[in-house]
Amino acid sequence: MKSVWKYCICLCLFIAANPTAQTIYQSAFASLNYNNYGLLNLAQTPVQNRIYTTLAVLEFEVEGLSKLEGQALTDRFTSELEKTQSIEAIVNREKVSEIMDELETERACKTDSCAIVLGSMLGVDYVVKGTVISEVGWFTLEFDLLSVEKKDVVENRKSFYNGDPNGLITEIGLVAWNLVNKVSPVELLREKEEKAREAIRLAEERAEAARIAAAKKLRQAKLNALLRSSIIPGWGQFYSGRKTSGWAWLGSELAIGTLAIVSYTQYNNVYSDFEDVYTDYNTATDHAEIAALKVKAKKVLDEEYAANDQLKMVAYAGGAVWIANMIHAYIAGPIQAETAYQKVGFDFVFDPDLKTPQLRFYIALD
Amino acid sequence: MPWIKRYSIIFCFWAISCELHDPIFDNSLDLEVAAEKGIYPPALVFFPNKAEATIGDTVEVEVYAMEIKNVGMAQIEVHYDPAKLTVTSVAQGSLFQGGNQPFFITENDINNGVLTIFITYLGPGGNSIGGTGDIALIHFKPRSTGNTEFRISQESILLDPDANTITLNGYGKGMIDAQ
Repeated sequence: MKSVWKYCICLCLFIAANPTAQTIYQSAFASLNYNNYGLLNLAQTPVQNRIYTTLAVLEFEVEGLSKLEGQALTDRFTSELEKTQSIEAIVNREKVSEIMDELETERACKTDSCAIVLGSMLGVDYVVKGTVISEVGWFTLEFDLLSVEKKDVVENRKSFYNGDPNGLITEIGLVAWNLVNKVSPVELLREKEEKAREAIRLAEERAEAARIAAAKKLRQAKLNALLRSSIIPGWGQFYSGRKTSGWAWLGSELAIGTLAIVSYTQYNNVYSDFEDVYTDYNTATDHAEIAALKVKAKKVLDEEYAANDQLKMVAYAGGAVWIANMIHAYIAGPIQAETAYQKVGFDFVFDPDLKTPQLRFYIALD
Repeated sequence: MPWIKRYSIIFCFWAISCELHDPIFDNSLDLEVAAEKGIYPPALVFFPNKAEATIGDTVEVEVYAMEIKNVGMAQIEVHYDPAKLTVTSVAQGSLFQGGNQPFFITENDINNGVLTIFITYLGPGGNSIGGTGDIALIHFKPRSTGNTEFRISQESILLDPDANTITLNGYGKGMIDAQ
């Protein structure tokens, strides 16, 4: 009851001060009992600053946002419109909703003509219809100020916003000021700057955290690759998605391993040969035979040393390749996602139309 | 632990691959080896000149004449440590073969550790032998652990069929390592 009295007193004062308001009052009361709804928020500013008489703000259509978020944005927009002091009376979202319920009108009103009809039913001169679309980090804000009398759009603002969702509230407020062709207040601009700074700071923090996490993940992946490559050459490269390198390292190590087996067999053979010859030498009693066996034993011994040197060389090579494979697995790490601009190169392809092989050069245009 | 195991295996592989012979060419009948020891033919040496055995085992050592010529008689003294070695038996070698049956006797002084081997062709104008070959086969038995040396004494003599002394340029030594 208190609110009813308050609105009555305000309305009386408003009607007394402004003849246009009387018209609203009359037209409004002609169709609806506004007092029952308490829908008219009467601005406290001088009448001469006001451009628009009565205006209804319809609930914004949203895409990529929840209905609740859409309602919050609509309320914020309405609140900022009130602050512009350019409108004599605003029918806000809640009141529009209540009236629509009362009139049992279809709630969804997406077209301009629908909004104008709704404005006519509400008994206002202007209607604000808005759309907020959120798409991959970008927000598209579009607002139409429709004249019920002219049945047309009198003002249209479209704004794009890319930043922290918190800043969207401020952006909506700025668009509200802009829609009624008023200079945005300094505090709102400051708020936008602060929010932009905050957004940048948050983005930097997130980027830093993401960078640290990525570095940690990369380091872990490199260690995993190193561990695998230390067990089997090339395994780390396979783990990192570098199949060619993996095969190359594995193949190299297998080749060296085969060579090592061959060298070891040679070494083993001459080792056994020497044992036999040396035994023969030690058991021989004929001078000529002893001399011959001694020469032979020394020759086989030289072969044994040569085979051992070869085996050592192959083993060193194997070890070096193994270590190099481990270092490569760690340094190269996992394959990073290839960016479009890196997709440039030549390849040899078969053209099914011409039925001939062709050398193709390709470059990404994105 | 798996790391240690893996690298131990690799290390073992390396250790095996690095095993090499480091032989000592020490055949007592090798003329080069003998020369390095100051033994030149004609000489009397042991073959083998080194042996390893355990207590109770028998070690066979042959007494070899190295590149001798026209020898009809030989008296060889082998000195050994009686505290460490025992001579269990002595057999005739293959060098004195052919012609008259050679006369082969041994005398072992176990107190002083002197084994005397005497071999000769009987009768005047007897056979003579030459070359390199074993005169006798001695069976030693170690009595205590450690290295024991035995040697051919310079008192050993070789004579031709006319009882002329043949000068020897070397007297061999031998060693038994008893475990």
